[in-house]
Amino acid sequence: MRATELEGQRRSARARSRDLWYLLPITALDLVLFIFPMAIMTVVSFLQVHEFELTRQVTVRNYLFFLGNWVYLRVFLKTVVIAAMVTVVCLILGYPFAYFLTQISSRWQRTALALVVLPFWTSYLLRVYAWMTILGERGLINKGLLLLGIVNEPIRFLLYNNAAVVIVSVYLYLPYSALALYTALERFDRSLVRAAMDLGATPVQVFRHIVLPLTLPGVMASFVFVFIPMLGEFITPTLVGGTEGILIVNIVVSQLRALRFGIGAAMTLVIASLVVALLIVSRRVVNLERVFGA
Amino acid sequence: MNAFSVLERRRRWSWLVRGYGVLVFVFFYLPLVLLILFSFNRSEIGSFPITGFSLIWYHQLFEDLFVQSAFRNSLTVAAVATLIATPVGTLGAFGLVRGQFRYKGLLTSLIVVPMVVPGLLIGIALLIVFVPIFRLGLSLWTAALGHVVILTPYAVLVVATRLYGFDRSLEAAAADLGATPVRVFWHVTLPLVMPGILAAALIVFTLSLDQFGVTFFTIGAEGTLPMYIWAQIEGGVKPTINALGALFMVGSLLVLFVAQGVLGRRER
Repeated sequence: MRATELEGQRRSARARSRDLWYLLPITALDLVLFIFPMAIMTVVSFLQVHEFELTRQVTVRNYLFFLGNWVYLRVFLKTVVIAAMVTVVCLILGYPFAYFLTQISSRWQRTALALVVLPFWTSYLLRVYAWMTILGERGLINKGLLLLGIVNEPIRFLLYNNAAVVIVSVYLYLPYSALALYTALERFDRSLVRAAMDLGATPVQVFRHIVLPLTLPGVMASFVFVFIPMLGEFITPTLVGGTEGILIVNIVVSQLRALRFGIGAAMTLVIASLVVALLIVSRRVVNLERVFGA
Repeated sequence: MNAFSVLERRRRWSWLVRGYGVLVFVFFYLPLVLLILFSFNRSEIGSFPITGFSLIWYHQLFEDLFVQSAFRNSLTVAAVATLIATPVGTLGAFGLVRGQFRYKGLLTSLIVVPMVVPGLLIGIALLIVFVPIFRLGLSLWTAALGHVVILTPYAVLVVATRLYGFDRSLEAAAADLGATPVRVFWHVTLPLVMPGILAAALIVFTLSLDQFGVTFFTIGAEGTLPMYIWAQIEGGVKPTINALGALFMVGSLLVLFVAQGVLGRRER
């Protein structure tokens, strides 16, 4: 009896060490191709670049170049503001849409959810590109306005500005926040709303005191899936933002194209630190592993 | 009277919600439908007006040697990325789902994070390691490594989802009947997890074909399809890109349906 027990223990110990071996390749991969590059980038961000070559001279000038320059700093702050705007608009549009998704009869619900997810699987780049055919001078909106006689000549200001960046970003990220809110709303006990209503609460009060607190995980999840990627957005501002609509990554890219590796590294590190800080803060509320249906 | 008006209001409300839902779906799909529509439009502009049906842009696309080589490059990178990310991700999923050890939460975060950090930032970090530090030439291989970093977490999650729903008593039963651990793995575990692994491979492959951010800084002179598209559209709308876009969408959707079919076997 004791012998088998011991053997069982030994076997489970062996199984446990085997489970750790399983994790070796992916840990090695992340260390070599993710952690190590980030560490190197940190080092490079403190190195002086001379005639397009990295030197061994330590400096903080790369950071000063970015954080001490109002022009760049303003673009950085604008990026944060635009990311926040897109997140808020996605939440405002996402709530009623998520509610709509919960109201669909179960026969059509799977189809509806599949239709929300489907655009993720078509090229991201091409989805941004498609908006150039809508907002452009010869685009859908201008054609419509001309046809209706609202304007006499195409409006140019639809494309290549901040508003275009916000519109297209909302288009790209709304499915994420809608799905996050849907997951939260679906678990939500609808009778609470009726109870509050019966007790005389106004719809605004119901939303503030019942719906919002109970769907907070959905709000936080959409924050992670909208705000954070927006900080690193490059395609949208470049294609539909024009000169006015540039975001911080556009500046990082132009620095790197000019082979200013130190400055590029410093700027990337500032953005990446913000991303990681936000991830750590939201980790308490959003269980990333859960979000993906595990 | 009062009950009637409450009912009436509720009905109006539900129509409002439905109308809004449909409107959002139109918002989601209008750009994609337009892209497909324009790909068949004879006009040179690649946008309105619709001047007539034509397959000319598809013809031009297929004759374009740059598109052909970009497509080949994309397939190469996606194949390499899939061959690395799928086994590494599968093993990782086994470790994470079945392993019980300290710092599991921390390790899980480390594994998932490359998926959430914007790809371009990871691409920049890799560029700095590859070029000024190690003086490696950028190529399809460096791009494939970049794809592996970003896409392995997806493989982990897809396989992990399958593993969570795994009935471990089947393995115990096989072991009790005298099967060696290797036989248990080959005859019980692997066949049951296989749909998850295949789906992971398909998803990694598809995502690799579309990967822009990390590719942008890690690829050399030979570009992938998204790099070709990027070079074409930075200046504006191009009719051949509409055709390429339409094909790309149909292609990814096909792969998605296959993946769904493979994963759907779980329900049988």
